[in-house]
Formats: sequence, structure tokens, C-alpha cells
Amino acid sequence: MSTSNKPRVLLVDDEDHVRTLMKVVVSALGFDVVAEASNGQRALSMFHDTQPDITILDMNMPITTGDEVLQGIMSTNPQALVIMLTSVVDVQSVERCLDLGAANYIRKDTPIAEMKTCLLETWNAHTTAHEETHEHAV
Amino acid sequence: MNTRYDLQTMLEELDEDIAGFDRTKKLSQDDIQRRIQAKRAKPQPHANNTQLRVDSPFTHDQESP
Amino acid sequence: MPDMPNDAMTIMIVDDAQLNIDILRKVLTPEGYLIVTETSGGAALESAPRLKPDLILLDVMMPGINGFETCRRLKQHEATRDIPVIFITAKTDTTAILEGFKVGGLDYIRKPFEFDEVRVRLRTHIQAQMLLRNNIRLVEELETKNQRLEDINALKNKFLGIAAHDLRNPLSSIRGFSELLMGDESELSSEQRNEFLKTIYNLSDYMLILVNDMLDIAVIENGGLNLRLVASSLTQLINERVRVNQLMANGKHIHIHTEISDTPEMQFDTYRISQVLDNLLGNAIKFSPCGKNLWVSAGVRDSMAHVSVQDEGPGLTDEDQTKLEGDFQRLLLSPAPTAGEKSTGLGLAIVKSIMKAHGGELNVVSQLGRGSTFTVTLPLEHADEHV
Repeated sequence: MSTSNKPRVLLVDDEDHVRTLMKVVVSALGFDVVAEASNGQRALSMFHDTQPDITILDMNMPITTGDEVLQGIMSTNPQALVIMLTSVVDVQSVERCLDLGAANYIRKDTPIAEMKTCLLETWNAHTTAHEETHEHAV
Repeated sequence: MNTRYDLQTMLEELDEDIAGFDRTKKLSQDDIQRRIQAKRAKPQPHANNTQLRVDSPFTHDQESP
Repeated sequence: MPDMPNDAMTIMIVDDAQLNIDILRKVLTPEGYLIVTETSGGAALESAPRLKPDLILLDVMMPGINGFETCRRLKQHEATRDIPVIFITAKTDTTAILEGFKVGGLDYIRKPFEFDEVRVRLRTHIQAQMLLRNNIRLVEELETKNQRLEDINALKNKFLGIAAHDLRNPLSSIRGFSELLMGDESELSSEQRNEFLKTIYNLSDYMLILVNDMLDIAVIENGGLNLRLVASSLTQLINERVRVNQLMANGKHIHIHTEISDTPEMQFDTYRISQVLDNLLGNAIKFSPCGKNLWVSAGVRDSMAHVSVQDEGPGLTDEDQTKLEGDFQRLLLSPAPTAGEKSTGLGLAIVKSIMKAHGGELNVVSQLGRGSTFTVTLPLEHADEHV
């Protein structure tokens, strides 16, 4: 397991301004944005091409919606770390994404500082859990 | 036209509308985090956990410390 | 207790004995009822669905179809089912009374008649009937109003939906960028700072357009598009709007060709028609790839002025064209602006409403991959039939 490399991030959002903003936020955490997608279909193919450590995923997108992308990712990569970042925050959508295996669900209007904490905590929890799984395996 | 029945139907429809409104209720970030915590506390429908459930030694350990 | 309505309650008396009819008519007419009469069960069954009396006084012993059978048949038919039936009977034994109730009778009056009893019983039943009728009317009124409320509520929800997503998202980003700009200055390069500021400006600009469009739609949906009709030159206005939009077109190297015939001076709302022209020109420029052509033509045909904007953009799918035909529709059409411009999707709905208010219309001819032609028509003589 190579810890020297920065966590590689795939950003998925149909709106340019959100990706611009998130790129800065994610970079400030020391993560590396390796790919960006502006719709769900592109997101799925980019996920398979780049195998990112973290996928930050919007819900409301043309063609393929975020929950469909999430389902697509989790079906082939159940260990994938996907964080939803969206304005869609009704009970059903949140429950559905959490059940599908989203590691976290962040409202888009969350202040940047809080968003950073949330992203970092989710990443740390994920890596810790993985190390444990590895230990169990050994 | 049975008046009483129609009023009853209308009331029922209203109840449904209200229930529908509740379903689309917006969650705050705190609400969401609480839901995530609650889900983590419960066994999750994940590949890993399915394995755990099948593995009887783990469950035995937890039940009889 | 509701007042006696202006339209008097109608009572149908069915009796084979003319004398009984005459007596009852004499007793009941002063009560303010309208009296209709039949002398057999068959005749009553035939005329009741048409006359729709509010109450039927029905003799039991009649040749042919007797009273009980008549009542049973009245209760079987949708049109007469709800009319209360009161039997006129000489028989007061329990069996006959029970039989009457069984076939759907509400009450009975005895022969020979006790006039006061007849009056009081009828009054009671008629009042109950009036209450029921009132109740039905109220429920219908309630349903109509409820439907109207549902329509308004649906519209409000549409607005809330737009506000929820399309205003909240850019607002979240504006706050995010501001937060970054307010943070540690050394963390950002000057290019980044400029990029953030430009993004904030563009997002707020988009939000302003969206809010204005939403307000326009709100005004239109409430039927309140008050046109300020002034006799003006459409030709002049078109030329002016083309000039204004030329700047945006230049930015994308789009050539605007014009073929504008002189139109006679006509009545229209200059502000609203400018809005229409700006929308059509703006869309054509937004959705056209750089370097393409755009044709604006205007002329008069069939006592209507026609203004067309033709582009070489992506064209519309059949589905998109169907959407355009619907009522207030947010048109988030398949093609996206080609140079990162923003579209609120409300523009064409506004154009349609403005044209309709002028007694004109919006038409689209489009071929996927070839381009679209949007045409608005405006009557030369304004008829007062607008919204």
C-alpha cells in the first residue's frame, strides 16, 4: 500500500462552477483531482479508466443521475469511496444513496471549512477501515 | 352523489398530500450525519457484512463475551 | 336552516285519483312549492328523470305499476335514485309501511289527509332535501376551488423547484468562492483570485436573469401581463435589437444577416416585444457554434407581421419541439449553449406568453443537426382579445 501518493479524486458535477470550487477545496486538503466529469455517463467511464481513491458525486445531472452512477460504481467496486455532494437532500434520495453505499452525503451549501472537515474525516475513516480489513486478512 | 363519501375522500387525499410532502422533506447536514451514524450502528447491506454474518465465530464472540 | 331558494322546490304528486291530486295541490301550493302531477306509475317513471322533482308523493294503490313497484324502479335509476319518495296510503298496517320503506320510501302520509300533518311532514323532508342540495353545491364549489388551489400550488412548486436547485447551487458556489477569497491571501494566485471573482460575477448575473424571468412568468401566470400598446415601427425595433445583440454575436464570430422589409406602424408593447426579440436572437447566438450564420427576416403576410430568426445551431429533437407546444414549460432542451453561456430555460415560455397576449404566436421549424427557425407573428391590427 503506497501512502506517499496523494489520494486521487474524481469530480463529477454538471456545473462548471461547482467543479472549479471543489477542485480548489480538494486540492487544499492535499488531494489530487485526476479527472472531472460533467455528466453521469462520462463519470462511469472515467471511474473505470482512472480508478480514483475518492469520487465526489453530484445527484442532479442530465442523462445518468448521481444515484445511478453510484449504483454503477458500487456494483463493480464495492470498496469504492463515493461521497455525494448535492443540493438534493430529500429523505428518499439521502436514504437511497446511503443504502447504495455512499460513504458520506454533503449538502452543497455546507460552508467550505466544514466541507473540508467532512471530506477529510470520511477519507480517514475509510483508510482506517481498510487497514483493519487488511489486518484481518493477515 | 353521496356527500359524506366525497368529503371523506377529499380528507383522505389531503392526508396523502401531506404524507407526500413529508417524504420530500429536506434534511439538514446534521440530519444527514445522524442518519449516517444510525446506519453505521446497524448491520449494513454490504458485501463485507454479509460475510461477517455468515461467519459464525464473530457473532458468537459478540454475543457471549 | 337555509332560506327558501328563489327557484321553488318541485313536488311531483302521483295518484290515479284526480280528487286526491286536487286536494294535495290546494294544501301544498300556498307553501310555495311548484306542483307537477302524474296519474300513473308508468307516467311518473317516464317524466321523473326529465322533470327531476325535489320530492315525489306517490300513491300506493294504483292500477298498472303500483306505488311500491314505481318506487323500486325509481331507486334503480341514476337520474331518480336520490329523489325522496313519500307514499300516500290508506293502509296503515305495519306490513304495508315496512314494504314501503323496503323499496326505498322515506316516509308516508295517510289517507284521508290530515292537512297539518301533510304540511309539516313535507316541510321537514323538503328542508332536508334543501340542505342536501346545498351540501352538494358546497362540495362542488369546494372541489372547484380545490382544483384551482392545486393548480396554483403546482405552479408554486415549480417555482420552488427552480429556486431550490437553480438559485441555491450558484448561491452555494458564490459563498464558497467568497469564503476562499476571504481566506489566507497567500494561498491563492492572482489568476485564481480573478477567476473566482469572474465566476462570482457570472453566477450572480445568471441568478439575476433567472429571478427576473421567474417574476415575468409569475406575472404572466397570474394573467397580469398588462401590455402598454403604443403605435411603433416594428422594423425599427428589430434593427435596434439586432444591433444590441451584434456584440454577443461578434464574440462568437457569428454573422447576422438581415432581410427586413418595412412594416406599417402598428400597436405593440415595445418593452415586451424587445424582450421577445432579445430572447430569440440571444438563444440563436447562445446555441450556435462559433463562426456560424444567423438570418433575421421580417415582413407582412395575411395581415400579420412575421419575424423569423434562423440559425445553424444543433436543432431540436421532436421531443423538444413537443415540449415547446405545452403551456408554461421550463424548456431545458437537449442542446446546451456552446460557449458556456447560461440559459434559464424560461425564455421561450415568456416569448410565447407575450406573443399570445399580443394576439400573435410563436412557431418553430427545426431539424436536428440542421438548425432552427423561430418565427413570431404579430397582428397588424390589434384585437382586444389579449390575456
